[in-house]
Amino acid sequence: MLGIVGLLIWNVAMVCFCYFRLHRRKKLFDGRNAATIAGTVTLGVTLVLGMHVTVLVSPGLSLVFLVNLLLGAAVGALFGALVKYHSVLTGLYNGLVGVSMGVMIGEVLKNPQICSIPISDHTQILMNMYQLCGFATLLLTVVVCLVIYSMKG
Amino acid sequence: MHDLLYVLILYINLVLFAWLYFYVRRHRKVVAVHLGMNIAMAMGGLVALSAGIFLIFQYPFHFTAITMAAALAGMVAGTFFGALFDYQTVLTGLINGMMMGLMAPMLGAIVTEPYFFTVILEVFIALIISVLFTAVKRS
Repeated sequence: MLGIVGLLIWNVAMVCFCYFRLHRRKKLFDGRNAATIAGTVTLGVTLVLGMHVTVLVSPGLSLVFLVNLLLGAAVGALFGALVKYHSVLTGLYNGLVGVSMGVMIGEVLKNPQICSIPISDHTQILMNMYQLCGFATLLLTVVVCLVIYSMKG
Repeated sequence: MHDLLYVLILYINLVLFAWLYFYVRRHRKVVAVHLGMNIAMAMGGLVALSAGIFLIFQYPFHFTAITMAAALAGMVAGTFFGALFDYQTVLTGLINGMMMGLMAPMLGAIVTEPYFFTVILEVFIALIISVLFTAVKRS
């Protein structure tokens, strides 16, 4: 589990880096650009963060879902209110959708029998978890790099 | 022949999507940017959905590899369809392909009647492709 904590720390650092980089250049946005960036960044970030938090936290599904919904709403409102308050609704909606998907993926990774995926060995479950969490971290890094690159051109 | 049925259906779907790509590319000057954003979202999601579901029907013991392949296929397809118009449509198509690609093998793994599900999915894919074709033709 220590590797997944490391991946979660890397993801949170990536999100903070993206937020402060966008915050410094927020005079360059117009309305449509702000809405697109709010939707894109919020969907990717809440999906990956919800997946990691669900894999790490052990209590029942309702508590995990509540914590993740609060996380998604906070991230969505934060990225939506970056330029003007017009795109808060886009950020909130995309944050809640991404968090629901992330909780589903994390629950299936913790217990593959609920999707009737033929993996039952404990070592194999852990291996599967590490591979998919690493892949999601890679995807989030690519998305954040593309969003930051869109500010230059 | 019969044991590679789902790969064959996936191949037919991908040929259909490639034909739609070249059709939209020939008419990209007349397509407005909002329709372009919707085309990028829909096609990125559809490529990831069909790749994930048909590959998990065919090879049910390779969940991790199929998830990675479906996510990468959706991101590449969303990028190609979005790159016809704008940089923001690239971002929208990419993130939708990624989300659908991570979800689709899970959906395919819990389905208990694959033939019935395949027929319904093909009907919906044909409906969406015809709607997009009509929207590009009338714009």
